[in-house]
Amino acid sequence: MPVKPPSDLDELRRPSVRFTALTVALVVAILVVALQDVLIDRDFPHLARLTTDFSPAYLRREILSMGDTRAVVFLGDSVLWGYRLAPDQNAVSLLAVRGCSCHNFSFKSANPANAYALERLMLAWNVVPRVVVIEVNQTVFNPADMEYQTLHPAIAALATPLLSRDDLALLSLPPAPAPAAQRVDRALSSISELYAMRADVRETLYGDVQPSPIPNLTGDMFEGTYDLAPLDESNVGVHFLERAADLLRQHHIELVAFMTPTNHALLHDYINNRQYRANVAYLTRLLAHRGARVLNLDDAFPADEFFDNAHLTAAGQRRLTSLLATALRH
Amino acid sequence: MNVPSYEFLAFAAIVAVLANLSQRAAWRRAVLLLANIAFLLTFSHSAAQLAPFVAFLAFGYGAAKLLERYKSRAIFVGLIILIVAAFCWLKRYTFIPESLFLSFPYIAIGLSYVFFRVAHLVIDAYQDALPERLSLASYVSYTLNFTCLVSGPIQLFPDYRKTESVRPASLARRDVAAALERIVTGYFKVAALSPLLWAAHVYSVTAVGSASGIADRAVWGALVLTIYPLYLYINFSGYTDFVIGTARFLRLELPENFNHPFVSEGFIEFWGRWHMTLSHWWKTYVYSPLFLALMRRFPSPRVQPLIGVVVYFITFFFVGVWHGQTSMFLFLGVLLGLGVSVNKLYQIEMMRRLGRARYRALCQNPVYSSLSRGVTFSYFAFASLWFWSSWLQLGGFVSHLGALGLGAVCVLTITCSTICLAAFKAALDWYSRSAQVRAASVPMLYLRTAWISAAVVIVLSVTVVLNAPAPTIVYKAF
Repeated sequence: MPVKPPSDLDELRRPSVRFTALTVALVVAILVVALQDVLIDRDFPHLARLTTDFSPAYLRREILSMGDTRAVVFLGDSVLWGYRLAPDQNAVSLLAVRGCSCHNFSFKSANPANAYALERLMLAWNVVPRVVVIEVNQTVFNPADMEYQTLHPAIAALATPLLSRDDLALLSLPPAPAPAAQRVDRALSSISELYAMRADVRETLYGDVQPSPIPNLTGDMFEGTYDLAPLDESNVGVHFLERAADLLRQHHIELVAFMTPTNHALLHDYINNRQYRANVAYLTRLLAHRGARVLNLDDAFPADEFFDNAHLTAAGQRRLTSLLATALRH
Repeated sequence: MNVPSYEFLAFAAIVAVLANLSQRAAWRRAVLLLANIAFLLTFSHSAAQLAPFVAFLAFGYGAAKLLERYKSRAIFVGLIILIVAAFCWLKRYTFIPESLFLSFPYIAIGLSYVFFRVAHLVIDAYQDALPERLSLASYVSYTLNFTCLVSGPIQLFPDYRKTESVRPASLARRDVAAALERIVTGYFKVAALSPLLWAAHVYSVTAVGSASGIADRAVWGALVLTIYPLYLYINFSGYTDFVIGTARFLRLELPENFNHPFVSEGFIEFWGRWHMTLSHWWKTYVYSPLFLALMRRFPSPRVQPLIGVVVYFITFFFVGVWHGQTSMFLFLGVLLGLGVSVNKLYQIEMMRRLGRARYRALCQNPVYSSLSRGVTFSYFAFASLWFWSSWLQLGGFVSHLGALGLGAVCVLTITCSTICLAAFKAALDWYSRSAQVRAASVPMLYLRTAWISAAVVIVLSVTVVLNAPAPTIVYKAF
């Protein structure tokens, strides 16, 4: 039987060599992770908008990056996020091109509870914006839609300790992972920036979640989207909108709120009525009473500037940019 | 189950533990047999999906058993034709009318590789070249060997039986370490390097379409040509490293498939280094019998070299055609056939003009050998265009580059590959020499440990970031 020539792997038999090899392996692993962290920290961009599955680590990084710049912060939903559009086509990106020091913290299915939690986070980290722009979309006040009575997992992970028990009781928070999984996730996130921001890196490299194709739209597709029950403080959305406005007033931060543009041509059977207008008026009063400047853009856009009930086309976003620029004096 | 993937690794680890529980050969063989069947079943959702594959296997077994007993040439030829026809039919080759295909979905994973194994058994059974009477268990285990079912390597039956039953491969400490190293290196190539090269390939294909100046077009055109072969090599050799390392834990020894193919100084040599098990199969079962048959038919020594040229063309034409079912692959076959036959013709002519000694001296000239390497790589890269693109894409590519652009692409590709491969060969020679000198050196061990640790962290990071199914293996499609 042929005898194999000695290999360097044979040296593994010696305990001292085995120990040093293990040390080398450990040191190299730590160095590679550290290098990845340095590269992520230095080279991962500040995105024009949050990714759909943005991570707590990225959110923290973005909030802290504002520092004391007294920026304008936008808290909106998919309309301000620019659903079906490239990241540089939404109104906030277009305002940034005009020289506005803007930060877009909008994301799909956002709601007043998320806006309030984000404000709490900023203030807890001593980041004080000059102006906060809140988008008020009537869809989020629908008590039947639980999607609007929760927090984004990344926001929940960071802001839950900052919210009162009463506030938390109103929300159905995303299910927490098992404690062991949570511990592992926390440990890995603290070791590796790449792990902590994996969702952001992935969606930056491979693109965000693709929207479904635009169907042939009819008004009845949105039946139930808008609940036209009279709004009052018992509504979860209204409660957190009040809390968000109060918090800003308390910290002397200017609040600009705008009613989300809505496609009245498409939805006329459902929303062109007295109750809808009464709800708009109620929200306007509620915010104005708390010192906010309120722009009622609800009926300000033609039907051809919408993809659907509320999402604006590129032309719609340009119109929104002009309106917001005027309001913000940019 | 995808290969490579963490699921596959877990599956292989369980099989390895079970197979090594007992030293008895019968135990190992039983575990491997069950594992192979279980692995195949992971691809199928119903008996109907599995039926054509099983029928093909059953037919192959029946044919081999028949030929073990009856050495009739007519039966042999008939069975071989039927096996090839069944393979082409199941693989849906486009020359077969579509109405003849099965209308329901069925599994064809690794069918090409199974075909090579079945054909080899049938031929060897007829020629009495098998080391033993073929049993159903050993037939199933061999043809469905899960470590190499998806994309090879194509191992011959005697070699398989050697480590499966006769003399299992050693699993000493250094073998375990080497196998782990192989798995990590393979996964690193497939999961980390090949997506990068694929992204670079896609980027350059897009960029060449929008390049305007001649210099721009030449650079992007050369990149389009050269990145894909590198991607293919990294992807396929990574898969091969992975399965060879995995099989070692089952005490199986799979054959190597690659041996630094891009240092080849001719297209014939290239096929001795690239997808070696495939070229070995074709050499054994097509080239050699055809060459001998034609030699017997035309016994003149003057004709003999030309027979080699013709048989090379035929063999590699089929190698190209095997890769796919469309007309692109017919053309690929022509290009591969031309590559080896022209190479052979050139060797004959040079030997006739210079004589054996002077030709050998010329081949050893560093400038000549570097240029040969560059031309060989460039030709393979050129032929690969018919491997990855479509006629439409090729048409767009040619019309955008124009005659001048194409010329510039050729010159740039040959020049750059000559220089880069000369540097690579020098580095490889230096490494081989120093590896021999310090075969058992401790610093080398630490260096390898460092590399493997870095590769593990990078692979895990890539897995975490991608959060996607297992990486794609190009040759899985064949």
